Amino acid sequence: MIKNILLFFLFPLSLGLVVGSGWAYYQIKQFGKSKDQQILNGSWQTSLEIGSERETLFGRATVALNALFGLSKEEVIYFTATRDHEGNLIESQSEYVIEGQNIENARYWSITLYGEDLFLVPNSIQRFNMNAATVVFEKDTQKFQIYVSAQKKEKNWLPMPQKPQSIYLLLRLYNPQKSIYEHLDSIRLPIIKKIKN
Amino acid sequence: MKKISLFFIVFFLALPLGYYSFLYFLPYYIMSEVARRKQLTYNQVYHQSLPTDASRAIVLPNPDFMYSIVLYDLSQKESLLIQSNLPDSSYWSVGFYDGNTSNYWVKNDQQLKSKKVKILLLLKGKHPPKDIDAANTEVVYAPTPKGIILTRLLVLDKKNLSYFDAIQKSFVIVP
Repeated sequence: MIKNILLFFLFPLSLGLVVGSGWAYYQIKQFGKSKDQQILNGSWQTSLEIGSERETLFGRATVALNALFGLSKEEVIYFTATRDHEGNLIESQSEYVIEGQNIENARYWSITLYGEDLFLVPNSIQRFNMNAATVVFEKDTQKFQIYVSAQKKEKNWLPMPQKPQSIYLLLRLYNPQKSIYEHLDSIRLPIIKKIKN
Repeated sequence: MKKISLFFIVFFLALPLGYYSFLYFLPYYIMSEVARRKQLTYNQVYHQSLPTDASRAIVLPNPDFMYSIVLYDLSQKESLLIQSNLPDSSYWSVGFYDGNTSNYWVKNDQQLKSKKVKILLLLKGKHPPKDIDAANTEVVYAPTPKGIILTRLLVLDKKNLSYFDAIQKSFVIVP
């Protein structure tokens, strides 16, 4: 009797719980890689559910694991990128240039580089991001080029980690104007181009 | 045959149970993990300097922000009154998150009435005391007794750290 309960009830129950939980975890870890329920703009993607009480059960768990303590869209828009403009994964062994122009319809913007564990990566100059205050614009313009590389660059250098890994870029737009969050799929965002394998 | 059917019935019923239970409980677990990793005690303010690669308690830290954090428990206290000075022009915000990490209230420096802010946190359904300084105090209602308060202070001028440090340290819980 006990053997039957174990074999035909407790075992499939445990197995189902483990497989169900595992499937949920797998889906959550696809954050930033899946196109489902995301707004796409070139290499960048975002979700309006981050930091919102309207989040679904899935959205809330995803944000808790991958973007804990995010804020609502009126406060911050978070655009993430794990791929360059040709759709290839951004990897630390390669070099990239991020070409863009100052984003004036937000109070503050920054582009931060994270490792595959979603934490800041060690580098020789302790620089982890670029923003409107630190980026050097091209002369007499609001345009910029940020070099993402493990090799030192003369200006606008955003260092890659030495350890080979996939890279996660996060563009934050604080206090965006409506012209931004009502046109997330069409506003002009920086382009991420690979320049060296 | 019946036993085999029972096996699969139980398995397929347990699948969604595992799936949705995981999604439901994960945010609560992560919230408790943050408290454990940062060794937070309830109803105390913790100030954090600018994040670096050594900051590994919360994913995706913004290296331009000084964070301060309070893990609150309103079952231990009737209410929580916090206050802070705000910077002259730099971005500052305070966000309130419930036990499952949802952000239920946020305001930034431009939305607050003065450069010295007071915020009273109460559990939903409770009433603020009658002697409250209503004109100068924001009242926030928490949906769950436990949660987190997180302030963000933007530091673009890294040469002026002492100024920002003083602003950050002015964020306190009023006894």
